[in-house]
Amino acid sequence: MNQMREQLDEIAAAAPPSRLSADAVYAAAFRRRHRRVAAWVGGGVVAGALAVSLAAGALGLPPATPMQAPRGDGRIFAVAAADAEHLYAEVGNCGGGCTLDLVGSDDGGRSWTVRTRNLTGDLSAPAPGSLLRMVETGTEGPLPLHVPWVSRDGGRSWAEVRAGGGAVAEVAAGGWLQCASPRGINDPCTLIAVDPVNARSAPLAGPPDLFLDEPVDVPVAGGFWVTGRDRGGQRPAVAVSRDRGRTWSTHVFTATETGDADLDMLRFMGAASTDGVNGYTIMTAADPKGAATAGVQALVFRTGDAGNTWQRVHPTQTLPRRYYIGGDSYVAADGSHVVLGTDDPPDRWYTSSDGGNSYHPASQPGLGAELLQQSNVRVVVAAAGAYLAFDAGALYRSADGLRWTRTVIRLD
Amino acid sequence: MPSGETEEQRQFREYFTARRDAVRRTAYLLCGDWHWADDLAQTAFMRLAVSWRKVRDREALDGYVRTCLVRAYLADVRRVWRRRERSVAEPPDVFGHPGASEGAPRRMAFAAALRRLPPRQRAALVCRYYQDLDVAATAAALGCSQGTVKSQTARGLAKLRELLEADGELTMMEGLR
Repeated sequence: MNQMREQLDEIAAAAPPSRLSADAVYAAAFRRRHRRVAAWVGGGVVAGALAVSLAAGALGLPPATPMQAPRGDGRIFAVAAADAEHLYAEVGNCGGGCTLDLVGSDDGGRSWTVRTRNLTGDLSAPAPGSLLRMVETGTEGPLPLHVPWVSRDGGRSWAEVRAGGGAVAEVAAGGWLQCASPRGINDPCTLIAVDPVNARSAPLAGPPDLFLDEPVDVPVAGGFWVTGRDRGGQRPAVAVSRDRGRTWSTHVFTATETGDADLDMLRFMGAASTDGVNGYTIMTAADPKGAATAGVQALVFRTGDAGNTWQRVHPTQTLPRRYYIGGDSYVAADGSHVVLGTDDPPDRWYTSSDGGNSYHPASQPGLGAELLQQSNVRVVVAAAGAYLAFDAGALYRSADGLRWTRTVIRLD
Repeated sequence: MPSGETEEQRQFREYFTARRDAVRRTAYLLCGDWHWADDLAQTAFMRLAVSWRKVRDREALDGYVRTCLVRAYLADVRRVWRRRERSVAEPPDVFGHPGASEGAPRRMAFAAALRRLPPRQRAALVCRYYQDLDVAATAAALGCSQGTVKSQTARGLAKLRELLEADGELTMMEGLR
């Protein structure tokens, strides 16, 4: 195996100068609190790897990013929906250089039309009537900068969201909260309120008093949920607003609640709720039992009052020991908590129908096995009664989050 | 010791100075991008800084940082891929200039093959063959069972061979038979 070692040594030998210094890292460690990891990490990869053309197109659309082989023609790369009828997907188009097209359906997936060619940016449907694309516009140091673009006509036309003006007391009707593009590597999430009707964004005047991690994907009717940490230490927290961001109910998980779990290693937590009342949060913590338990444990908490109080559940430790993040779980229509997990790929589904006390491997009738083979598995909860998933070849819809219907996208 | 500096901070600086480059190199082998490698190394050292008092066994410092590094990498990968499965182009700032030495093309081919491995397989290979960890220590770093380490390592080696065969660089892997 010496050859292997020699090869690895050679690869790592040509290191450029590092920006890291002992004092800066030490200082950052103690002022560190959470930031929106996904944003800069995702962008960090892209920042270092992709050269993105920044020239705006003649139609005012963000420029296209050339796709890399082996993205296939017709392959699905992302789906979005804010209700059960209006569905959207990014699909590969390889007719003369691969790009992404946005296709949409206004009848629950029965018919589809192309809405935007040469799509760029991560797609989502954060509120009914709106589509959002976060488009990378460049980098600042190691961090990517993103600009939101919104569509109010099902993805046929787009407007860049302009930041500006003073802070707003609440999120406008039809709007949502998201993190501002981080400027510093240790910046926590700064909540901005997006008004899609006017294509404007502004800081939220009264965010929860936390170092914020990220908003939780909860259907709009369930209020706004965010995860983070308290400002005094390392305690994880969840905050919920039921009045469009004017006031927040914040719960900081105390040492009594988390017990002997070592939260020093805690970096990831995920929360899930469909109705905004019943929800779960999963934290990954170091396990004091150490190597005998693969070093980590999953702490699960349940709320039945919109995040005001949380009860620790999962005494059985029947969930796989792994890192759980936002999007790893959702709440089915019957209240079951469905979690994606494994300790050896590929992933599989686990469900709890006893309020999070115990989890058991579960099949998801109608959900393709191929879905679990891909690396970006997640279920989008568009609204109560509207669950969505996808793999490379099809989109899957469900009214209860447990039984699924496969839909192949065929353009009209 | 600079004024106002604690003994812990001084000790941390000493350790950081001694180990920064090694940790960065390991991070780079994991992720294949020097910007990201700096981020991962920073994360690992930050965790060490806040846990300095708890890691009483100074012999365990390397293992602690390594565990933080590998797990941060694996978790970051999941976040990145969750948002959308991206096809990442060749990093622009890596591996020096082609032709800079006689071994450059071969090194680049090996690096490209390594980068195409699934993250857990790549992490297993880096732990086993770069960090020289045994199966148990690799399992602890990755947070998985020893059986998983064995299977991931075997799959990683097989995939690496397959990729290098395809690139006509099989000879460099003959030592792995």
